[in-house]
Amino acid sequence: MGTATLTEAERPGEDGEQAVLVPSGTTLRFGTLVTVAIATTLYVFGRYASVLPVGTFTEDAQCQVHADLYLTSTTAVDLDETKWTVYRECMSRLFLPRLGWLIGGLLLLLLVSAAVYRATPGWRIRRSKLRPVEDYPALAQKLSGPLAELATKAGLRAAPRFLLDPASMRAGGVAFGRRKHMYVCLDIGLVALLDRDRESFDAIVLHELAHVRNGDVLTTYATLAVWRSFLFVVLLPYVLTVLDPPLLSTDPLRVPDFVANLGSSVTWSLFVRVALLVVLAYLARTAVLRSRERFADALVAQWTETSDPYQALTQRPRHRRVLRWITIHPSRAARVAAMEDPKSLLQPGFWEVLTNGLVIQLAWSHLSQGLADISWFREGNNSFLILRVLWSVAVGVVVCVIAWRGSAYLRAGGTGRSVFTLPGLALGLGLVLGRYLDVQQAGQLRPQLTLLTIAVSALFVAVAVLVCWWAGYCWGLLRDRVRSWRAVPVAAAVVVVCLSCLGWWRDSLVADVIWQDQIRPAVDLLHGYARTSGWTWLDPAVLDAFVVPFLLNFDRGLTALALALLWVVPLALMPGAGRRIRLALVSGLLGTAVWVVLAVGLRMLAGDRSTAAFALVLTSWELATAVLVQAVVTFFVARRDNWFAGLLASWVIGVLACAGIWLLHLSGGLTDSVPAARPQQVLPFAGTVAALIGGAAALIVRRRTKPVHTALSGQWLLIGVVVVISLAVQALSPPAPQSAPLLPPPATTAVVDENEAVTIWTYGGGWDRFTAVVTANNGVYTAFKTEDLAQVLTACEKLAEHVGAASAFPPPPSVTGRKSWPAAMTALTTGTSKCVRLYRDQEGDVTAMFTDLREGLTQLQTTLTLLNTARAQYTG
Amino acid sequence: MSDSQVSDEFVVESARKVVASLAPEELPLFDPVSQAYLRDPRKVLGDRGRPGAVLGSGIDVTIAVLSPVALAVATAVGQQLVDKASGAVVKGGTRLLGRLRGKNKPGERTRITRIQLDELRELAVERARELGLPDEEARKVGDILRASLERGL
Repeated sequence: MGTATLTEAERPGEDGEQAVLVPSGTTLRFGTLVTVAIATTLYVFGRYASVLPVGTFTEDAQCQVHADLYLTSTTAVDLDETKWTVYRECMSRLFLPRLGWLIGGLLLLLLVSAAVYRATPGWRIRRSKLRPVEDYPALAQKLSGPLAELATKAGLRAAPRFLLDPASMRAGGVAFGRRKHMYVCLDIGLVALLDRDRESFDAIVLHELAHVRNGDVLTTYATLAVWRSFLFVVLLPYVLTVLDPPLLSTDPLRVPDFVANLGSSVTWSLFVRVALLVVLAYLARTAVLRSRERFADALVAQWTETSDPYQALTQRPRHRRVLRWITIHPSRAARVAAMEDPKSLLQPGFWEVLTNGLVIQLAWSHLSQGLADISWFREGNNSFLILRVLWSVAVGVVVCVIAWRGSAYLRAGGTGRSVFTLPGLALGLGLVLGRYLDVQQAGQLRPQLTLLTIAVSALFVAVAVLVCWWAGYCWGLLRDRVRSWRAVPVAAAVVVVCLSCLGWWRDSLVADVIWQDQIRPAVDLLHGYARTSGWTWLDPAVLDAFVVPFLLNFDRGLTALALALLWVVPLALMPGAGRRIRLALVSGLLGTAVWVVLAVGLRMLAGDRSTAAFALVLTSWELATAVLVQAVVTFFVARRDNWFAGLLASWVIGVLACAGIWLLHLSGGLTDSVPAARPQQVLPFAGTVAALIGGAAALIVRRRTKPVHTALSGQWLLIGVVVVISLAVQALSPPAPQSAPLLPPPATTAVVDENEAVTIWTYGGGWDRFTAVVTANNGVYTAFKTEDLAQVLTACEKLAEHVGAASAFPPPPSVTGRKSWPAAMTALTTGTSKCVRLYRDQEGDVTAMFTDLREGLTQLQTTLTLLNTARAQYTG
Repeated sequence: MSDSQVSDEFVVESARKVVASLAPEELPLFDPVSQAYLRDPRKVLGDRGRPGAVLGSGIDVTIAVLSPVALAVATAVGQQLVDKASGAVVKGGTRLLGRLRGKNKPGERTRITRIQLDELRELAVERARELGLPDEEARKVGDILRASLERGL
């Protein structure tokens, strides 16, 4: 009943051990689960923070009224920074209490997870009544030798404690416990195999010991602890509050209107997203469980030197393929594949990476919403940058793992062009899909799948593929240094590249808005300049090609750094890159010389044109010629040697062309166009695109040359000079005060939803002021009926006091409200003043007093109608 | 233990004889299995997974172990003796009943007829088959139990 012994050639090599040395899928999937759990906890507790205690809901509205900044559902943003300052100062008092909710939520998740994690081993021992093997002397004597032998074979420094499950007749085992108290439980059926089928006994015990060796026992138990804690601490209470919103009100026991609630499209949209979240977390959990088994199997195959050590054990019916993702154990085929070809475990999987991308995007959305709910995620405090960096680190980690595992797979003898392409595609798709699945968008924003958003999303995915391919290439160059300090700067470079090349995803979400509000007006303006200049028929296209990227690049320093890293890192890692660098530098200088000739030619063709509009056109043409030269030079360098050397050559041309454009356009320390003042804002990006085109063309007509690695004295000094100069010029930009503007003047007023704004005013203290005035006014009329002069006087003084407070309060934010509210307050102020004089000093005219009071009442009635109408229309 | 139940000693000793005869290599396992069986027979005989089986290897097929089967067959035989004690099987066999219930004094011998022994053997064979033993194995279990009963336990 033994398994077939493999020949030397057929034996699994060191791939199994190799699989242990790279970040496993188990760890990555565990990270996925933890990420989604933490981010969703922040989102859910952020929601609680924004409504609990109940008073905090109105405090936000009060701050909006106080700042005259009504944050309605329209996308328009009020550009008056003073209003924002007042609003933020007002909201800052809510920050700490709301932050407490977020920290409390995380602590709760952590504590419950830790409690479940710590309690599980003891619970398992008690529940199954497991006993140490030593409790049965005869059995212990029989097992001690084989178990010690197997623990040694598994390379464990300390053997785990072996327990016995005397009630289970299965040939199974399970490794569990904590770091210092590791257990392996053996079923009695497994122990019975010792005499009948030693190979199978060894294989199963080694499988459990492989879990201990891989260190995935802790990961697995942590996975289950986080999953259970997430379900009960976060998800279940949240679903209950969605189903029963009064739970978050002052009257939590009130019976909710289930029919109306479930009839709402927002509720259903929310449920769909929550369900997807649960499915995602569940899939991450089951993926962890399956993944660890295959890694353990790979080690067992290596230790036993057989391709299928479990062959003798009859398998239970296999799960159907459709259920593969939800099963907790891998299929027989997957196990065999892992054991026969352990290096296959190194290859990053498409669905695994897709899930990672999806989760990162969801986690980011939930995190940002949670932080927005505590008024931290906003303009003006670097929170956008901090979260963007956080997002990039998460994406960078996934890209590094893809690169690490993919390069290890290739080094282990794996083949295939899709090793980095497919994971890159999956990452890009996951990040794109994740935008549309986050819970906070339920009912608020439906995916607007226009041609533009699809095109921008496709571009994003393509960039993700390129970034993964580049990272994989760099990681491959690291070779055996992958676990040394040298990997750290490479990983940091990957994060920076992700930050710059992929960190613009938020802008792609609003591609249509950016196009409509910014780019289209700019393009119209540019085409106007082209018409005015009347130089060539290509002017509009050239202007669009260079000014639009110029406008879209908000971080020119970061862009330059990231794009420089694209060639710095590979060239730094390549053995004997001296020849390549020399070739690149010489080619770059030659290319620059060609560009200078072209630029001078353009000047001569321009003649005596000297308008600001033409200066912009001419600068665009100079940039176009630089990019053309970059593409051609990259083509030749890549064809001759290497694409990264071509990229360096392109970079050199870009830096020198930047200096050249400054020289050509400077006059008295000023430049005549905005791109001429900051050509470095577009040249690194345009140069990289040109290099990509040139490199792609070179691939088609590649001419292989013999690699000659000759050292170039001071090669790295030259590289350093290029990098430092290119980064230094990012800080330089001579002013261009007389240049043609690239954007039309911004709109001065923001459009708000008037009904929503009036409703915010109502909740933000307006209603309190209104009712105080009306009540005091009623008191005056009641006092008149008593004909008691003192009572009338008191009532009028009280009304004057409330009217004074209400007068200082901002009017309702609508055309009607801005008239009726001040009018009411003015009339009532006058009326009460007359009332006081009449009843205290016996001076004045009764009729005039009543006229004013009636006018005030009329205006209050108008205001009330406005408030009711606005609220009814806003709430639908 | 109530009067309607068979004594643990009878079950364990009868089953141990079966295991010692048919699968002596299982004897080191017998003690833990019998203790688990006496604690919860259904758990030992059932093919239910353990709590938290999600963390198992997933290749844990059920192994034919004789000890739980022997224990279950011995329980069935003993139960038959207890159930029929006041009837035809053991007329006046109060001493055997007492032994089964763990109340007899040591050294007292129980007499049982050949026909009754055959009936108990058949019961043992049938129960062993029910629990998945092959016919031949089941007959051997019946024979061993019959022999041990015949020797007066």
